[in-house]
Amino acid sequence: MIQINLLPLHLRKRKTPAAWLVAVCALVALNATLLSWWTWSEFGVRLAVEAELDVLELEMRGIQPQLAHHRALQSERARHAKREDTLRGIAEESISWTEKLDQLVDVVTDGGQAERHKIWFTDLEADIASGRRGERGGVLRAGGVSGSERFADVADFLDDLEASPFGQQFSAPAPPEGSVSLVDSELEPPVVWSFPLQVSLLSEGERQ
Amino acid sequence: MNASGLRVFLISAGFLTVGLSGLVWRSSAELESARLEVKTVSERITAERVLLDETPALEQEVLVYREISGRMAAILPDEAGLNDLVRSLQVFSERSGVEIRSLRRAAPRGEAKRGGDLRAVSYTLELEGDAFELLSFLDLVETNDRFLRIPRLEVDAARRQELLGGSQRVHSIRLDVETFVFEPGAESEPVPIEWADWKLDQLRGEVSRRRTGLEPAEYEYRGRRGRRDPWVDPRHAPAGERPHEGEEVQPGEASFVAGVSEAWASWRELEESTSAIEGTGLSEELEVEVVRLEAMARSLLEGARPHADSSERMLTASALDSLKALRAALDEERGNRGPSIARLKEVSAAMREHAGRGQHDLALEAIAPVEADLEWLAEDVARAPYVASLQSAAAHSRAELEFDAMGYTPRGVVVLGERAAALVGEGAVMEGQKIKDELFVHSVTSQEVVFEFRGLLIKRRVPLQIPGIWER
Repeated sequence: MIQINLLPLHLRKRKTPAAWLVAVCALVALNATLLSWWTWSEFGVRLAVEAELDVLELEMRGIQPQLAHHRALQSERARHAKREDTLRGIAEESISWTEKLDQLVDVVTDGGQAERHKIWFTDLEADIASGRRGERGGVLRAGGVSGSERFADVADFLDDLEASPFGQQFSAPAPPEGSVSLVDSELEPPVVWSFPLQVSLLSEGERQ
Repeated sequence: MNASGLRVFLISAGFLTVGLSGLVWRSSAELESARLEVKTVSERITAERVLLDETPALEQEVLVYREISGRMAAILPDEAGLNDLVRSLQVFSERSGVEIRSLRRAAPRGEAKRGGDLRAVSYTLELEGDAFELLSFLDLVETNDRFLRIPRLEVDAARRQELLGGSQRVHSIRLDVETFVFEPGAESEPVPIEWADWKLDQLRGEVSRRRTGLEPAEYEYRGRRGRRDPWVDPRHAPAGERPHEGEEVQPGEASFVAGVSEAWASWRELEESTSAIEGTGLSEELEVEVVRLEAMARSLLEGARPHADSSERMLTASALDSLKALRAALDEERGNRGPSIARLKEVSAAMREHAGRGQHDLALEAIAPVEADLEWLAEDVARAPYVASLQSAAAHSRAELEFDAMGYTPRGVVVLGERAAALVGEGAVMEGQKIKDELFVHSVTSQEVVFEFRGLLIKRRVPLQIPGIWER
């Protein structure tokens, strides 16, 4: 059966289109969700986070005096450490010349007693910092004299010097060289050899 | 709802959505920022807590540094301490025997200011002395309580002519003595540390270790020990060609110096010896040798030659010092064991020899080093006979010296009837007569008068005879 609506147009019952309905529902749902989210975020999470931050800041304020104490200690330590480094540097670059010269006297005397050589010096110059180019650090120089006609005695002396405790803080002496310097018939032996002695001070690292 | 109403609703709802979205976005952003801040603060707190965990260790380190700094202030002079330094150098010169010829403030080498609060101060000294006086001076400088170091040293050996010319001071020495003045400047007060003293007590070992690292290793200088000066030409002129014509060189001095040198060589051998048996043997031999050298030294001093040239005099004097040092080393090595039998024998022989020559003062000098030990050594069965012999010899020598001091040396012998009398003092005394307490005339002959003093017989030869002497 066919039904015909004969009511005037404005009296006819109109149906809301489904799309509109869906849009309205979606908007309402969306807004409700957004509102809920904002409410939860603003009055739930954010307050909790701010409370946590307050607690942390309180904790931070609590440890501030300890931190200030720590930093003051660090500053004091840095001041002392700088001083200690300076003194350590001074101590490391220093050398006991008493020890070195005493050991040199030992080598000279022992060699004389063993009749390996008869050495003496005309001068000596020792410096913990050599000013000359090509020299690493401290240096000891001496004008040596060997009271023997045998120049090989100088080599024996240099060997003894290198092997002695004296040699532990110095580089090996340069190979022997020299010349007959004096002939004095009134003395025994009448002929002596002059030779230069030069040794460089080893650094702390080179000694180890 | 009609279409327009629906449209209005939808538009309004749309605007509301946009607004709510904005709120949510802003809220999220703020939340994220708050969370980030929480994270940052939390991480900072964690980091600071890690830092604070190190505070006890830091406190310990600072306490150690303070102690070291205190030591530093003690060893480095302040401006006022520099005057003390100069006074110290004077004392070192007197103790070592070197003579200071000049003392000048010098420009420090390298940086004058070190580490901000250490200022280098340098003096240049010109000295005169022999090698061992120099070594002794260097030792005093380098082992001084105040930090002193010698950055530069020059020795110019004396020429042989200068040595023979009678100069006592031989080598010209030029050296720099450097120290650092501690000038800490304005610095904040030390941070208060709770229980600092207690904590420091726990750190004494560390403080000591760190201090040691800062101070140069000290060297023990043990004197000349019979060694020769390496800046003196050791060659001797052949006999008859010595510079002082007509002056006979006594072989005794040369052999004494050589003997001391050999004794030191034996000492070094003894020090290097690892075998206890070998060491004991060497020690006994060395004891004997040293006592022999001591006897020789006493004789040399008794007959000291005024004409010996200065280098010989210096050599002998330094050999004497060296012998004393060796004796001290030997005594220290023997510790509380007291002198050995070998030494007692040698002392006894030396005393006999001196007493035989009438040198009772030298005999007492010979026993002096061991006399303090004789009382307890008498309880040692092995050494008791030697102790008794030495005590007896010492008592005899003392009696002889005291007797001489009383002035009863006989001037002659005269006959009085059947009996002889000795001229003693201002009168004559006869056999058996008491002169004073503990002093009797034991016998009188033409050759000698024997006194009895404190139970000991003391013989004195008669120097001259009065005419009409009575021969018995």
